[in-house]
Amino acid sequence: MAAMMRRPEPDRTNVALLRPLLHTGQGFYFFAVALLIPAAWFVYAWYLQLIRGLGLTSMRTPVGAPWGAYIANFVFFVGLAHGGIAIAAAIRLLNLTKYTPVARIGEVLTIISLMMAGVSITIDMGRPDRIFNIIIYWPQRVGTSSLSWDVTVIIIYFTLSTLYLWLTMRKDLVLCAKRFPKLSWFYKILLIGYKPDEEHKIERMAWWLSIAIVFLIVMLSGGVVPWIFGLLPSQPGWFSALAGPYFLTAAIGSAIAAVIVVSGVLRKLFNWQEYIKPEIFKGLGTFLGIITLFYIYLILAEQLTMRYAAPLSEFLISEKLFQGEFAPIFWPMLLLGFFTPAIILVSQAIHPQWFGVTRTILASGAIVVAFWVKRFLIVVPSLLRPLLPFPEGSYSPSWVEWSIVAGIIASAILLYTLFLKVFPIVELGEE
Amino acid sequence: MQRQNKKLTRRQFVTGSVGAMGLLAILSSPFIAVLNRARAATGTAPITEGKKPTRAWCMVIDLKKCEGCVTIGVPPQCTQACIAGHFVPQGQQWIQVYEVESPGGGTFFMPTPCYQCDNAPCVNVCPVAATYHNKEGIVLIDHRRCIGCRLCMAACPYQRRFFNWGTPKLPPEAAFAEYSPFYPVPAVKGTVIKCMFCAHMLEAGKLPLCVTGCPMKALYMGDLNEDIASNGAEVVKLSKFLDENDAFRYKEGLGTQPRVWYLPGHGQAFGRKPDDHREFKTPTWTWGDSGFNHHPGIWPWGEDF
Repeated sequence: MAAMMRRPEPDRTNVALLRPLLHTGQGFYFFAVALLIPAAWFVYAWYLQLIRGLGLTSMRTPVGAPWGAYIANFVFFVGLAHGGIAIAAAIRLLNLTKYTPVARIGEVLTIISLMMAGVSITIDMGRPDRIFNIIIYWPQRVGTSSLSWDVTVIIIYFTLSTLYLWLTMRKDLVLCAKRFPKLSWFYKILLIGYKPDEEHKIERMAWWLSIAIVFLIVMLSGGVVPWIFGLLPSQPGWFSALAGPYFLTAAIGSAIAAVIVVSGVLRKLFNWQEYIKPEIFKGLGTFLGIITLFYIYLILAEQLTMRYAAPLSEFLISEKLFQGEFAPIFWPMLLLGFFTPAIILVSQAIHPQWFGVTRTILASGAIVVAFWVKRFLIVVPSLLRPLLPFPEGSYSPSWVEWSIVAGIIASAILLYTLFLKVFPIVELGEE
Repeated sequence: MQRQNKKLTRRQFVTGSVGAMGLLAILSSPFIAVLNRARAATGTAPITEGKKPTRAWCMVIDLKKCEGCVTIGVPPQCTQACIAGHFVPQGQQWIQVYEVESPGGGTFFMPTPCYQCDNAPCVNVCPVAATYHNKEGIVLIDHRRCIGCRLCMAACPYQRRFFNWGTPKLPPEAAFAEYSPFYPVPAVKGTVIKCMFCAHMLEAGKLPLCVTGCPMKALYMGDLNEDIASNGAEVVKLSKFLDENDAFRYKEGLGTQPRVWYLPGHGQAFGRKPDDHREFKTPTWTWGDSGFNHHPGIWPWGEDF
């Protein structure tokens, strides 16, 4: 029994885990080109938008929505940025060593998602050339501007999570530097100040970083991002004390779903079945099922408040989702994106014989998509409601907006792929 | 232990660096204030100097008198005067007249400028202080600083802010105007723009363009400090005027403290009953064609460059 439980030999493990670095096949080039095309198209669409203005989007005022798909994309990626580090921090703080193989998969997801969130918000700005004004006037505005809070927390979060990834990866970089002499100069730059006996110190630093990051997760996705919306009484449907917990649940749910999907794809692609074990998917899947059920409960709480005896303005926003122009995406999102996957995931937990890795991954994929749609349904309907007696606007993203959103997602996958080619994505064994 | 032999212990390092950062922050704060003042100075028109009392501008709109200019069969003249005087980009009505339904089936007309709230949500949320109160209580926008995030538009409960979705097409003479937040002409692409109570006219001792443009004399410009208001034809004592006419502020319950009062009622002077079918015209622009480029082509130069 003990012999069976033993991990495979270190060297064989490492060779297997370094497969993406060791072999670059034709498939990689096809994949990279397939991603480069939408990424290049995105750069072109952005260039068009820069020279001709945001008029190329279908955002309009005063009749119409001043915010749209870009902001939805921003909120989505900020949410996605939480799972990875949350999982990594939980593994470290709660000693959940079972999940160690997916820790770095999530950390990288966090960092790339945060970068994409930054890109989304920059693209949404009318004057991206003045973006550093936010830093210049930060001391003056951080007192009251929810956007200043956002910038603050996102920058701290990005710094800490990058630091965390770097610290926990140093051990593996040493092995990489040994194995890949051609790239060793690069690894050595990253290994600046390396000492052979640093591991204990790094462990302690990572532990403290985990604690800081857990607090920041609450402050970012359960704090400053929802407060951009939740603190504005001008917009019915946004103004709610529920906004914080609502966004936080969505962030953790979407992020864990994304980690499941990414781990599942990598496992299949590189034949890592014996390293990323089914138990990991089972555990994460069960947790995701519960989180999604909880999110459905939050939707219920929100909609009930908006419908039962609320001011008419709140009711009309809810009605847009239930029967109005957004019903064709609201109901599929709720039933196919949240309810069905949640039932699948929870029933797997109750009936272990129903468990399937592929099924878990598919359910998680549906949840990721549903969370993007949900962010769109949070941002747009409230803004379409006229605040003065004039006709109601409508909004559906233009081709420029779709190109940019698709391009951002493609760039995120591309960055992830490039990371895989340079760094080990699963923690290596001793050598 | 080896570490203790070193000159710098960890404790010293941590306390030292925290102390240095704190010192740096304290030392740099006056510098930041100076920096901000310098920037503010470039961003505003000359501040009223001397012993003149500070004004506290406000507006009173007499709904009894406003009839949307349907009697004379033209678009609302306040809006038209504003458009002509500020080269307002196509599609934006900084002061807009809405036809609001009354319970009995009739309608009344409601001109809506920017309310210049004392507790302005837009000023609170701006991350770069591009929108600010001047000393006279007017909410201004510095279009050289605005980053175009549009959070102020989401925050404004009156939807009185507009966005320049592209470079507006303006008549050539607009290019000669000297920009200042008091007179935001020509409009800057990618920034938020709105009514600024004609701060450039007030500075010159004149009434705003909408007030002088109104043929019914329904708009009054007032000064809360001096307690007077004028529509160009008469001068009234502001506090008494507001009291006697049951003045109210739009969406008072939001606590934004608007600087615009409405005098309720309609039909006392010029009626609009349910059977009144005279046309309420929308304002017109002599420039701008369709405003911004709404129809994206594939090519960067567009179809109309």
